[in-house]
Amino acid sequence: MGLRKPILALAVAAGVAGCGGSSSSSPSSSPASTDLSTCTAPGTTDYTTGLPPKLSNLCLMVPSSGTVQPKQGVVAYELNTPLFSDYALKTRMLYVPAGGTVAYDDTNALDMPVGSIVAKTFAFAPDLRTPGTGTYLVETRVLVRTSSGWQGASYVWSADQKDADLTPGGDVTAITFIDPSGTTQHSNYLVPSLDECTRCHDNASDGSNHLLGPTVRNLNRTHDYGSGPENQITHLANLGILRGAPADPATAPRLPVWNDSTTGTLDQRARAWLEVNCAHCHNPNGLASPYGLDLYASVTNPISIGVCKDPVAAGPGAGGRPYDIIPGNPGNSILTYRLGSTTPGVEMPQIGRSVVQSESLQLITDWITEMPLPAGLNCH
Amino acid sequence: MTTINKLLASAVVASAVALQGCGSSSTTTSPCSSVSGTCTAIQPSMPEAQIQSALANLPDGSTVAFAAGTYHFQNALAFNANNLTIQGAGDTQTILDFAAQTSSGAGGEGLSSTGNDFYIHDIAIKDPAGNGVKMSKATNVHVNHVRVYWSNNGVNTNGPYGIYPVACTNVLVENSYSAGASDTGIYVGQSQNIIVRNNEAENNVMGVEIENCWGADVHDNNLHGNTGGVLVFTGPNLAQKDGHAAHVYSNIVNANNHPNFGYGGMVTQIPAGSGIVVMADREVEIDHNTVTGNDTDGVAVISFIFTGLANTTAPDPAYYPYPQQVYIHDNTFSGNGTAPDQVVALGQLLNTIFGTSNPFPTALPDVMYDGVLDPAAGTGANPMGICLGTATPPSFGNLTQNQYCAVASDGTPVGPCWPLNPSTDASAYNCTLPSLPAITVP
Repeated sequence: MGLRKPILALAVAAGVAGCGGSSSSSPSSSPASTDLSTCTAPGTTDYTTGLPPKLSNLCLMVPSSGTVQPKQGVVAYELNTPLFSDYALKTRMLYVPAGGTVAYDDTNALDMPVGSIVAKTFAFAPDLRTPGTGTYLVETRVLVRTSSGWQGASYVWSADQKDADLTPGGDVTAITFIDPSGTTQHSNYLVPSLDECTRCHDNASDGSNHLLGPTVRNLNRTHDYGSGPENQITHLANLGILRGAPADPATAPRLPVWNDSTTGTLDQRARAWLEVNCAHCHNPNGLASPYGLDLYASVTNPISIGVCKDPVAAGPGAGGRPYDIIPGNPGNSILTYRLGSTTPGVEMPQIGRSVVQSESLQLITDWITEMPLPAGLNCH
Repeated sequence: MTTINKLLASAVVASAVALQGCGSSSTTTSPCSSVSGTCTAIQPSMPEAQIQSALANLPDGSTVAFAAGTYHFQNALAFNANNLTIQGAGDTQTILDFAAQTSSGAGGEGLSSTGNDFYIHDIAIKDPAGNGVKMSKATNVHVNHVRVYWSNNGVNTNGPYGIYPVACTNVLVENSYSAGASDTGIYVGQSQNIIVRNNEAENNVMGVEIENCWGADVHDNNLHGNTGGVLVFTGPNLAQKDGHAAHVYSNIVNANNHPNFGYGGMVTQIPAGSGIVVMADREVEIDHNTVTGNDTDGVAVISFIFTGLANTTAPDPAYYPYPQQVYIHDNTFSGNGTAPDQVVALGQLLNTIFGTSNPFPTALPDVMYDGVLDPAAGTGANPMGICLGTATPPSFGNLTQNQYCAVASDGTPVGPCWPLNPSTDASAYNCTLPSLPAITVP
């Protein structure tokens, strides 16, 4: 049962909102491909006055057997290291209006023109060891570039899986599944409210949403667009969307795949995971900037990533452990304590994760175990 | 601020009316009835889901008005709008109860806000999983007649901070109450231009904390039954450095003898029975306080080195670990230092100079200074500018006589000054400093 009832903006304005009820539960079957929209491709709408009530109104995608397929002009993409969201299966797409271009930037997230849309669709299956069986769509989050910035929204998929409804107030839904390692998990799956969107996407604390995932370094990998693996940077350049990209993507920065040891060292993969899962708050401008951490993978000062750094507050968040990271001693480091917790006020990240990702916790644990004590530091 | 979805903005206006039709509440006056402008009325009969939806993406300038009653929340309340007012019917009439906030993934604060010009008043926050009311990175925040408390006193599973402005400019916390926080009842961190007045804090580890702040008046508060009353300090490795200009005056700091129940962090080092502690801050004035019955000390002025943490904590090149320009005058002391804490390391250290056959057989001095000096500050008698005034100085103890002294985090004493070799000679400290100018907030 949902803890927050999604109420459509239009419904509230019309005074027809119900007062109780629960959100949709997961459907028992996945219907075949359905396209409710009569459009063929997204247009050039500047959604400054708000997003439409149905996901289909954006003309981005077609649901099909628990996944979504991009419509014309919409480009699917993957990330090297993704944000963890309770093991949800994710399908990512971006759309840039015809003729629009994006300047290559090897540091910041891509700066897309007005009318662009980035969408991430979240799905679950009863047993994620066989994710193609019984898969069902839960939510699609979008960021829409308007003339006044990126507008975020969450759409929650209907039980019949035909379309998704704008859900400005967010929702919390209980989802039970078997994770990829065979463990049964009970997620309090968070559909973020519009306020919660900005908790992460306002990563510069400037009152605006920003893209987080689509950086060149996280996009620099292959994806199969239907004719075999192709580098995504190259693909976007060939489409005329990305301008100024190097001809050889091997010369562009590349974030390791956190769980693929062929893509980076333990240190590089741990830092990639921390960047993607933590740096939207823990950076010098982010919401957590007062606390002095900077978890971008490019940061070299060990103190800035928490080595021998004392916690600001006492209480449950520190767990009695003296420093964020004690090299060689993950069991007494606050970082592993908070990543391993599902207690509100202790767990990190603070929103959007309700189960422990044991695989990344192991990565961080191994990283701290093997971390040498940097010169000039003395915590133990 | 984020662009507001205009559909939603119009919906919120309507919601003040539409939502009142829900549930079975009696025909009481709308809590919005005396509010001009956009107001969202919240009634106790509304289920949480309905309240959360009504409060999503509020337009700038709105008021959220909670009617009297108790509200049970499983999820945090998070706000981003500017010029937002959150109000109840009184700090004992409207209670936001977060005792059921046990499910993960949806945030740990009770109530948090990131918008500028935030005002919360006449409301209570009970049993949040994390902090009570958190205001981050905002200009102009005002907390008035707000109670934050945990039902279960003295447990480290309580949230760290009750009332918690951080990285804010122009902060006013007044007429409020905080109890049970596992770090500090009223904590102001890394902020500028602050007034904390006419509040009460009890049963927290610290009553009031001013950390890495620039310009704070802390006055006319009643701080009792905490581990320590007031802590003014600067810590390393934070974004805002150089904490300074805190004026702590006319407070009642009585019997702050609660056993320390912190669980990591600086305040776990605070001995039970601490009145007012200054650590590594500069330009601090402490006057006209009534400091009574604090079993370890009345006022302590210490360096970060004295905590024993400097040896292992990551060094911060921009951090100055010594207190300087601390002016302590015209306070009323009685009954302090008669039973120093024997649990935390610093308390154990102080016990070595307390009791029969020791330098302080019946009570530690009302004002204690660790005497740890910056080697670069020169060789004068009082190079750090610690002043006790000229009229009737309090009983005084200089603990280390210009020698380093520290205890490691495991309590092991290290440094050449062990054992403590205190002096009660205050002659070098009978000096005055300019009084700090009063803080004003818009």
